[in-house]
Amino acid sequence: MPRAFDEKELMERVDNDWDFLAETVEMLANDGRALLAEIRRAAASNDPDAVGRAAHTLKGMISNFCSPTAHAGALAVEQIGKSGDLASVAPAVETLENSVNALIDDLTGFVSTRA
Amino acid sequence: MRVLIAEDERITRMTLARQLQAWGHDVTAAEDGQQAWEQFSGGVPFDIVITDWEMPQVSGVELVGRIRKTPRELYTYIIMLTSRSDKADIVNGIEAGADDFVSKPFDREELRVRLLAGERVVRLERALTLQNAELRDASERIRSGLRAAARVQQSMLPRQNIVTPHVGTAWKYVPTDELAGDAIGLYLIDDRYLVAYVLDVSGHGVPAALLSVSAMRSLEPDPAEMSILRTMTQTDDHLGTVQRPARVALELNRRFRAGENDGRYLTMILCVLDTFDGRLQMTCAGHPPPLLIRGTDSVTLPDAGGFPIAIMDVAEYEDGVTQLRAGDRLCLYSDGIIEQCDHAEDEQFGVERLRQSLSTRNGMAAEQVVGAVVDDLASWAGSEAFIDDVSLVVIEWRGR
Repeated sequence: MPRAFDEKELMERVDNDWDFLAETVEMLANDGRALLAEIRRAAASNDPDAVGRAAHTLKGMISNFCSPTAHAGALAVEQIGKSGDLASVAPAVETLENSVNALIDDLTGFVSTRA
Repeated sequence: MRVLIAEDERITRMTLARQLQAWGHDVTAAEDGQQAWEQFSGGVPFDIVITDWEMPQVSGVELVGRIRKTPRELYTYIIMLTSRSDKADIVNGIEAGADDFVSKPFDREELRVRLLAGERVVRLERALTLQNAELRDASERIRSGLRAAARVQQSMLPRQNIVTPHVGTAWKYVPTDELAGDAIGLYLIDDRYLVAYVLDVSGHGVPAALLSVSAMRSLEPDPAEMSILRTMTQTDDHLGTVQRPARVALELNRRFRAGENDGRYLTMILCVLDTFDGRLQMTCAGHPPPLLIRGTDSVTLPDAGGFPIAIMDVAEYEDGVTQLRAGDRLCLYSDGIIEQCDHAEDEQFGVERLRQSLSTRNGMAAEQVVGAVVDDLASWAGSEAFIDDVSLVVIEWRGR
């Protein structure tokens, strides 16, 4: 199964510093999931601005892990939020959630190989 | 470099801070725009600020605007981090004061070279700031010297107007710069002979002022051997111990030889008035001739004199003699008055306007007249900052 991130690019980005990578992956697991929850809450309360803001922050966070799929998912939700129309937000959030969870799981497994 | 990072997303903030530290920078990381602003306004002299665009409370653009509005001695280079590629956003950031942009996620090499560019700007700006401070110091030293020199020069101007039962005088002197090429002299010798001169050295600034001061020294009235204005014994020129003006001009021309004054020369009107009988003797060394106002008319004076001083080594000067009438007013002036252009720089003030300015104030005291003429000139110029030094002397002969 292909990785959810570009391993070579990621390791270059962190200068092959596994400890630092493990620290940031843990932050992604905590903060990323918290942001996903925030996006869901904002979508449920029909608050497009909050959806856009949370998705924007999540997108920035994901961008550090060289994962085009998860990044594209966050960008899609951000754009929906900023459009002010949340009609199509549910499937986009689901796609984002799946890609982010997959990324976190894959990263966690990746760093654990060096633990 | 001291670098301040403003980034609300902690993984990006940590990654950025770690990378900058690896490159040897002294990094402070703020969790949002407000915290970054507090760090910046707290007095730490950050060289470079790297800020995210979208942050709660204080956005990146607002942070940039605040930084730019803060008066600082040294420049802060600002790089904005953005995932935005919209031209309007970049324009907004640049207008707010950002220097550069780096896209998120940042590429290490791109960030490194952009930081290098920022460092170059900061270092150049520091060097410029230092040079500016040195220039300001040097300029202030020069100005201070010029002010002191101006005080010396102005101390040589007439201390007060000369007023006797036979004569009244008034003068006005408006230098263009601290130091002037114009000079005025006004002396009463032997309690009878009024000596007045206006001289004007070509050019401006220190060289002109030095020559002007030197000429003033030569024209001091002390009856010493070096004096060219006085003789040790009475002459047969009806001027007591005062030399004839033409002889004074001749001697001045001998002292200030052509080619020895950095190419400068001077013009001079010098007159000696016997205040007892109104006999006026004068010479005009290349200088605008004086005006003689009689009532509301003006009287043509004899065209007597010679070349400007220090133009040629061998020069001859003539005296002209005029008999004044009671109430006559003689006006000596420099070309700074008649050559002053109007505010549109289309037309000069000219001799005729000076004549009108004087003759329409016939009933006024001489002191008021000189002030009024300079006021007229300022109105004409649309400013009290004239293009050339302005010198004006009015002598009123009251009769026997």
